[in-house]
Amino acid sequence: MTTTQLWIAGIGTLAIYSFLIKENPVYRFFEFLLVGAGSAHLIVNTYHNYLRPTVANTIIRDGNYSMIIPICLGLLMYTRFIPGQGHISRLPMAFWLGIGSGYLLAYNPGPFIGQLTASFWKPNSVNNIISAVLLLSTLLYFIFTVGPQSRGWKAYSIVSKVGRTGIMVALGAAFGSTVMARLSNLLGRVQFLLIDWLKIAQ
Amino acid sequence: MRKEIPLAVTFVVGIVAVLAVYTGQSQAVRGMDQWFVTSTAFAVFLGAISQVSHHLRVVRNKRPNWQYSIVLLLALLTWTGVGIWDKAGGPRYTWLFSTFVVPLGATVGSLLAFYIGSAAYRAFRARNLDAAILLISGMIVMLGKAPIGEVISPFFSTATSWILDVPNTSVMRAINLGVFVGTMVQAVKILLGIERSHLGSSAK
Amino acid sequence: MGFFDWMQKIDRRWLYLLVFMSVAIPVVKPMGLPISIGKETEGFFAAIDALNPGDVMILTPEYGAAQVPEVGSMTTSAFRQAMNKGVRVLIFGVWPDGQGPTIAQGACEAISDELGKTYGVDWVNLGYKPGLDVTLKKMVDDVWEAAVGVDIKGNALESLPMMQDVRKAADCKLVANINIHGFGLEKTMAFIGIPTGMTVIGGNGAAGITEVIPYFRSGQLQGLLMGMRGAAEYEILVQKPGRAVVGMDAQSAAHVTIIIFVILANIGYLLEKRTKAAKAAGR
Repeated sequence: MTTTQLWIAGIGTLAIYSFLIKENPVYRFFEFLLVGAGSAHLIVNTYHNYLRPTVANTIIRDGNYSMIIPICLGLLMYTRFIPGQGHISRLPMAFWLGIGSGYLLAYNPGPFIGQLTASFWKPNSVNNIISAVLLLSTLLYFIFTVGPQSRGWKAYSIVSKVGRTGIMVALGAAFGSTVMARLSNLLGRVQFLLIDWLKIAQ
Repeated sequence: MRKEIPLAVTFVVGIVAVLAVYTGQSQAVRGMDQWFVTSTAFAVFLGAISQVSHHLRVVRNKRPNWQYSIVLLLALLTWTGVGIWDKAGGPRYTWLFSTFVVPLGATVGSLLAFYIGSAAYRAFRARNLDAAILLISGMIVMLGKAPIGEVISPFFSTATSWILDVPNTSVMRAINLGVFVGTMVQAVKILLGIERSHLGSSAK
Repeated sequence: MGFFDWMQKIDRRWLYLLVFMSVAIPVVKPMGLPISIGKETEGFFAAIDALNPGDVMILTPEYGAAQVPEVGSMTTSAFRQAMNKGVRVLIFGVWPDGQGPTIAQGACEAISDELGKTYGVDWVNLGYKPGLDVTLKKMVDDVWEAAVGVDIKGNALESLPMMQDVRKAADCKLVANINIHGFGLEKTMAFIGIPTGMTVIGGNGAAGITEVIPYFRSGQLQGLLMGMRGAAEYEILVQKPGRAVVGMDAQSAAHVTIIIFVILANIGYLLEKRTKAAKAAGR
């Protein structure tokens, strides 16, 4: 980054952090600037990486005029802004959902089968036995149709408690990991402020 | 016909996609894939149009903070204009992106760290045994994943590895099994037209 | 007012300042805490190390500006290791915000210049391609069609020598997905790894590691970098310590600060509960 870039980024960073003291106009300015600029990025990226090459190369240069049909399909989405014609936008949506659902059914089982086979019981160590117990008790925990009046409630409630304990341990790990992630983001900005911009640290 | 045609399209397209993959003929539907990607790409302006129309309304009706809506609209216009006018990956747009979007986006993301600190102090109470287990597990993982945990005691990194390997893996597998079944059922419901919320409330 | 009563009512801005200081002080005055290498990181390193010079690997940076401090160095370290080994790299992204490949481009250009590598010969960045899962499937069928024949700079793929050897994903030997969400790695496995039989390795932000660890344990992922700690371990293995290694001291201090907050808060809560119970019993 050049000196100008560093100063702009540094001032912007402090402006965003000023929100922690109190909401203020400087913070608002940079926040709205970011939202506008961020929205533009997807448009610019898609235009250069897909839209322009499709029109310039695929259609005009290579003469593949059938690609005009999916372009029109995509443009039909904008009919939702025309009063009374919004129902036309259901067509591209239906097409996307059809493909999305179809590929979900086709490709999703792949990773899942691997997980399923990995969870088959191999009672060759204490950890594997604990894993099997926790997996089954977690699955059983999410069956909410067994109530105090049902037969087997006593056994179910014990297994459910084991499952809930396992879930709490796993969620605790997720909580610890999330805290780690957020602190890492802050660490990056502090490194920028102290090392790159103010050059207080190395 | 306003809902029958979309439902029929969803069904036909979805069945073709599933059958193509399961019969090993996924290459046969390359045309359909191309149509999907091209149509979604040309719908990219949808979000921007909604955003622009909302903020233009705010400015026109002089709603609270309408001045900032002008900032947003100018930023959107400037970035889009420079990006499209500049060539792909060009120096002007790259300068704007790396000077503003990257640092400001990273800073907004880092605000959560402060809120987590505040929440840790004010809200993370071990009100019962389950909450205590959650907090203790979280703290062990936090110490295990930071170098200081190993300095304090090797217990933390060993315990962290065990927590992630055994209880976390088995519980997440169980949860993922449930999520997988739910996702597949939802996909079948969409294909068969049982799930119609994507068509809007008038489609029911 | 007792000490813990006072602590319960402390202004949250003091807490923000304490969090900031816990991160800033170790950045200015590092402690030099040792960092051990986990087996997940070793697996990631070994997977790229097992490739031969001339092989092509896919690198998909799927993150935005907010996640660069955490996972950005995973991409640059993986790129560096590949370049040092003579492995060619194909970069692209399908994540909707589209920022990953753009962010990676600048960092990879700097490493490429440092190591004397040539864009188009040793590495190519196709940029962001819309379409999410379907684009991943198209990459398996035909990379050129999925990329619409151009790279991130608008160069025609015919003009890039490396792309003559890459027509479909299976022409590559390995796919490394750097993500912040667990389901990014799942989609890479589902749409590229399993259909082609390619080795899949991944880097994930810490918030998503509990979701993806089961895939490493089952062997579906050969390697996994977990959060900034994983990035730091990998920087050490690649022998180019960077911001992630430097940041580990600050990460430690921040974690200890949060833990102290939790402990103090719970001590205060328990004392408050006991006082209320004693008062209720006394009535």
